[in-house]
Amino acid sequence: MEKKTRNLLIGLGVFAVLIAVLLIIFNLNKPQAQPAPAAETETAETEESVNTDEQSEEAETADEQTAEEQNAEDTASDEATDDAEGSKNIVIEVKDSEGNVTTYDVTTDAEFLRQAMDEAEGLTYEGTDSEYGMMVEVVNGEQAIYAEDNAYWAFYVNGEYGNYGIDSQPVTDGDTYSIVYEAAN
Amino acid sequence: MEKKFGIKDIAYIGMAVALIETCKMALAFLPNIELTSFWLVMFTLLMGWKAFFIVPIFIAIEASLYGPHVWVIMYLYVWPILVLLTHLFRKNTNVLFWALLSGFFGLFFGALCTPAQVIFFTKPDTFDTAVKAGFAWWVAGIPYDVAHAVGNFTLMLVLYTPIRIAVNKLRTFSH
Repeated sequence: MEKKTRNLLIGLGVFAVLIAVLLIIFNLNKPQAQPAPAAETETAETEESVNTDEQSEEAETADEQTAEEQNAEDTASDEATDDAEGSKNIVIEVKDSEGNVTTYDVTTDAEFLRQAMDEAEGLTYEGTDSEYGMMVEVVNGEQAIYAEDNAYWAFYVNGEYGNYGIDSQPVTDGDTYSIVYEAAN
Repeated sequence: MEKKFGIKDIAYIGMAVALIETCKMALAFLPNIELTSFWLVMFTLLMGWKAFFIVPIFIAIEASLYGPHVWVIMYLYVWPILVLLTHLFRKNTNVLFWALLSGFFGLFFGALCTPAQVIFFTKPDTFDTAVKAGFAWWVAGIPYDVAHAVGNFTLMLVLYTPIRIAVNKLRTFSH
């Protein structure tokens, strides 16, 4: 009887230790910030979409509404969104399969990268919407679908590999966002 | 317990699914605090191996309420694991043992679900990516697994004794 109780107490200890270990694993691997949930639900459709002007306008207005709900910091800038000019100056770079770099200087109020890409003149992109936001497949007419082309469009923020999709990547003043054609090994 | 599947077992399964669904909806506002594990353990102690039949019926009801998705596949093998474990340890009567079993099950729920997540989202020749995505998916869910573990442990600790008495009574009544 005593031995049984001791075993159970050991089990209890193991239980507590495992919880601690899992929490440590989580802390080592967790994303640096919480992605905005509203941006994900917004594009939670599985249909193909192209960034026509109409759609991007819709996305902008939807973003404005949700942005007000989520982010008190940004309310000041959201009030002035009717103008094309914004409060954040960012650079978007596109590096194609040949290594040619095209740079777009964008002044925007966009909260997420997708809107800033919509505002960048001359930059076009297409992709598939998923529950995690848009999966970008074609940039400036060049297609990189992993299953078909064995390549993908990678996203970098100030040279660091991006943690988010374009629908949840926050836009920060002064940042450089690179969209790079990368071949899989 | 009788070996044959009888009318009483059908009634038990109905009761079990009704209880599980009601408790699930009542506790739906708390993330991962659930009585599904608890009731499955208790009905396994009551019905023996026949409790396996609760699982597909429970899943059918859930799928018709929330729409089918990957979790249907996960549930199809994850819950039977709990029934199997309970059935193997059915002789044990220690509260702490059952609380621990329930807690461990909650803690590994996400890990147990991960294989289905990986297999379901694997396309030909992207298995490596799917494994990495599956790992990330599991890690992102760890806080919920911990909540699940603590919730399961506590609920079992509190509810085991009174419900086990009822289970034992039902078992003696029927024979």
